[in-house]
Amino acid sequence: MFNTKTKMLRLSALSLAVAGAMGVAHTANAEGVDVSGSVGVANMYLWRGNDLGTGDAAVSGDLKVSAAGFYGGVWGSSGDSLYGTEYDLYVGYGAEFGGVTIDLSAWNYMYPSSSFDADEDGIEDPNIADDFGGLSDAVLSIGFAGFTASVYDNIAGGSGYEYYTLSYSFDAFSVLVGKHDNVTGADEDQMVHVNLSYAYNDNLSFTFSQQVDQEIDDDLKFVVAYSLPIGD
Amino acid sequence: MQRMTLGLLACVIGSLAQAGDLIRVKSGETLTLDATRSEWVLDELVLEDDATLAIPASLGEVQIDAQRALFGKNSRILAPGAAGAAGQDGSAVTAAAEQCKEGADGGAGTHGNAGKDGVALSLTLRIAKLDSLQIDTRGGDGGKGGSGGAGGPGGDYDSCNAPKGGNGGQGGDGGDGGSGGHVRVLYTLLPESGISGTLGSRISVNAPGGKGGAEGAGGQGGKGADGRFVNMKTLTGNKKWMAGGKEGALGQAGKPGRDGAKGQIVVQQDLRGRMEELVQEKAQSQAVTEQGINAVNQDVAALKVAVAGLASKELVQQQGDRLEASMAKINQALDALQKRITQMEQQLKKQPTQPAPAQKNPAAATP
Repeated sequence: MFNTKTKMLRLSALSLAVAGAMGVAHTANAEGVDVSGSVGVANMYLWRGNDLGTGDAAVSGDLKVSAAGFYGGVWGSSGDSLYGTEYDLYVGYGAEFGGVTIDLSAWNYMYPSSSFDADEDGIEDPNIADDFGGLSDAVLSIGFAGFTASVYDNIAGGSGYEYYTLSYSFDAFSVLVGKHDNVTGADEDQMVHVNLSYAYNDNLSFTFSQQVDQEIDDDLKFVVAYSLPIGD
Repeated sequence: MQRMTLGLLACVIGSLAQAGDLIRVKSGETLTLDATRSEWVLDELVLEDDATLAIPASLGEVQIDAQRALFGKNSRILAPGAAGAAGQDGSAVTAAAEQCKEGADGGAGTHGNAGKDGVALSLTLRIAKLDSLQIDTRGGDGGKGGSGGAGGPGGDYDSCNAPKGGNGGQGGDGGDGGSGGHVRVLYTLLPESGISGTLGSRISVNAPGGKGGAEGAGGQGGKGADGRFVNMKTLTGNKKWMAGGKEGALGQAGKPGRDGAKGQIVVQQDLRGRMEELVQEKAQSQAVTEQGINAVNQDVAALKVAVAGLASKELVQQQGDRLEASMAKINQALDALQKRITQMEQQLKKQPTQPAPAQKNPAAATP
């Protein structure tokens, strides 16, 4: 899977499109049930240190319902120049135990308009990208005192690909180190990148991303996202 | 210490005082009346210069009847109502809520207690000396309402929206002010007082209502959870900035207490005693007149005897002179009596027959 994406990434250039709008609205429409929605635009679709677009801005949105630690929702985006429109279905559970947060979730990636070739054999596997459960990750995160370690395991549609992150957040800053680990063993499938994010306010955020090892490209990526509050 | 001693003394006096007792407060000292007795009949009440007679607010109503009252300069009778206790502040929440939970609301402040009414005073005084006397029966102020407690901070979050802070607690209402105690002073000016006519500013009565207690302020809203980056897929990587939770609402302030009503003030001469004096004076005048008439009758009888006994012309002349002198005295006595009665009637007509209205300020009551 990662190889397929990197082909597209090599074709991508750093995009500085017009900043979009990302609004967040949330309501508690039942006792203990939290519903939130968001929509936004950024100058690129930064995915695990790679720019998935070709200089185009991307629009995203999600709808999320949570209650008693459980949550689920849908996240969708444009901006993937290779596979087209994407929407992800996810469910998860998060809890805190003595200051330690644990979060486990499952993500199903859907590309309705793609010709997906998951196993790189030159034969498209449309069912994988179109079918529910065809291309999925399990994500486990453990956090403490601002640090968070996460593991993304590709559990369907290209097994053997994992992605690890270690991040630290302090006030409006966040530093994340991510490492790809694909069973292919190719250098580009082991890429390491660093993201530095800063939230200027609740609406405007900036991210710098730089690949630092086994680079696919060595361009410094700059992502700006702007949000407009919607609802409350 | 001095006040305590005097308080004990007051208790002793209070327990013993019956008709014919004496209360004396020395210059600059304070004496507190016995809190278990509301009626005092005294032979003498003496408040020396700057002396204070304090009346416990718990009595509610006190009657003092003094056959002889002496008040020095700046003497005081204080009978204010007790102030109401302030309400308790609501408890503030300092601990953050559980994960994904809104902060707990702050506790509500309790209401302030109402002030007590000033003591109602009924004083019947035969004043032998009066330099200046201040009477104060103001109502107690209402207690302040307790402030609402601050709301608690919103809980931590990761997979939910940032929780808002708890709402501030509601402030308590202020207590109502107590009413001023009614004051009724019936006085008789003894000749030794040296006071004639009105009292002027010698007696001042202050009986305003207590002020209503201030309302308790609403508690501050709790702080919402801070905004932060959370693990979430976005267009900018796997970190999504989540806006912080809103601050809890400011608690509603309580209502201020109402001011107490003014006490009614009546200061007037004791007309019953004055009437008794007039009746006595009239009776005395009548007795003198009757004595004069009897003397004339006796002289006439003696003259008749003299004439009948062929008394000398000189003797008749003497009896006639004595008779004329007696008649002149009788006429003078009758004239004096008539003038005195006329003056008394005029004085009675001038006396107020209705209670004086309550005074707006502690200015002197003018009977």
